[in-house]
Amino acid sequence: MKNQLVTLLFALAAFQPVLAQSLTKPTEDRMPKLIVCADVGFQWFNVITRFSSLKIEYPVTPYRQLGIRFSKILSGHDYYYGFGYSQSLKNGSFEVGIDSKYFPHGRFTGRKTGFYIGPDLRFGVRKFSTFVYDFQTGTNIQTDFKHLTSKLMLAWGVQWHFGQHIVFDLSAPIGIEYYQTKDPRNGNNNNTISSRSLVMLPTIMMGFAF
Amino acid sequence: MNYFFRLSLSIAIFCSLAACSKYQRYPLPLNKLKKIDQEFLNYYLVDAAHPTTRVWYMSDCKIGEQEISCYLTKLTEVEAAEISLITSRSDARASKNDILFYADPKFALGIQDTCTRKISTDQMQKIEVIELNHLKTYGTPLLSLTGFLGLLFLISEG
Repeated sequence: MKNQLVTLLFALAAFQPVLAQSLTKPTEDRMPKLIVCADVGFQWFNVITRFSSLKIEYPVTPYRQLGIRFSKILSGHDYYYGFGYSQSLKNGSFEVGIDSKYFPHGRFTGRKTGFYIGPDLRFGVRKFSTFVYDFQTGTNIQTDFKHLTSKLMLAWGVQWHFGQHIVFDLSAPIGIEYYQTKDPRNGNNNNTISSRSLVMLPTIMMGFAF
Repeated sequence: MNYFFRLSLSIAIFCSLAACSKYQRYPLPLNKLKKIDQEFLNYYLVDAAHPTTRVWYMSDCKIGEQEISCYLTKLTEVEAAEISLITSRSDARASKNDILFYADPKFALGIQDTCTRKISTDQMQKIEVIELNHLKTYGTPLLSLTGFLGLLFLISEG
């Protein structure tokens, strides 16, 4: 799966000459009032998660959009750390975020490209359960803990508008995730361990523009 | 591999690739030309049939709704080729304030070497400017960066 995604990202390069073509009279096009989108994607590096989001984008100008998102991190991804010890994501993991998209445009022509770039901030909670097999009793001992996450990313991608209403978006924000682990196994519920890691979130989004 | 090393290496790759800005020619509608600050622009009239040999420099340009009035000075063939051909990225960057009006060949035949003329929009085939191709300029480095990070991840995770 990981190999296929890397190959897909490289394959996108082949479409560049097509994507770079001018849009017709961009500033005279009807600007949508609001775009409602749904996306799916996954997070790479360190903690690998899959997520699904609902997002609302507001076009401030023809070349700038502001967005608010709510992402539900999908449970069921299991991590095995060895015989008798595993960890899995629980239900109730989520993220909320804001982002801004800037579409570069022609200096004279006003030609709007599908390509965009901008900041992307997300905050959320990841809930985990760890299972340790107790050989004496023959049962799994479950312990719950959670990550409080903050992501600071550079969002980039390509957005296409088909007709007046359909929006399709491919993106791969890259950035840093800071997370605090609240784990009762540390001896005290209030003890937290902070860490950070590099993250990338390849995402496919479909939307409806009003 | 340390994440900070990954990030700094990626930024270095991005910056080095982003320095390779890609320019190309795009058509410009006349109505948009009137909305541009024209103080720093250089206008050239190009014979559409002989774009590399017959080029005039347009000075004292006044752009109206249906016509452009200006003083024309014919350039030498070497200068004409320099104006109409993009030979390198630095050449494109240096020509980013040039606006080329492609005149109808029949009309261009009757233009003298130096003269004051009014050129109507009917006598022009197209107007072209050189602009940054944003997708190639920023998209390529970002795509490379993403691929590079993906490969690093695959190597480090085995």
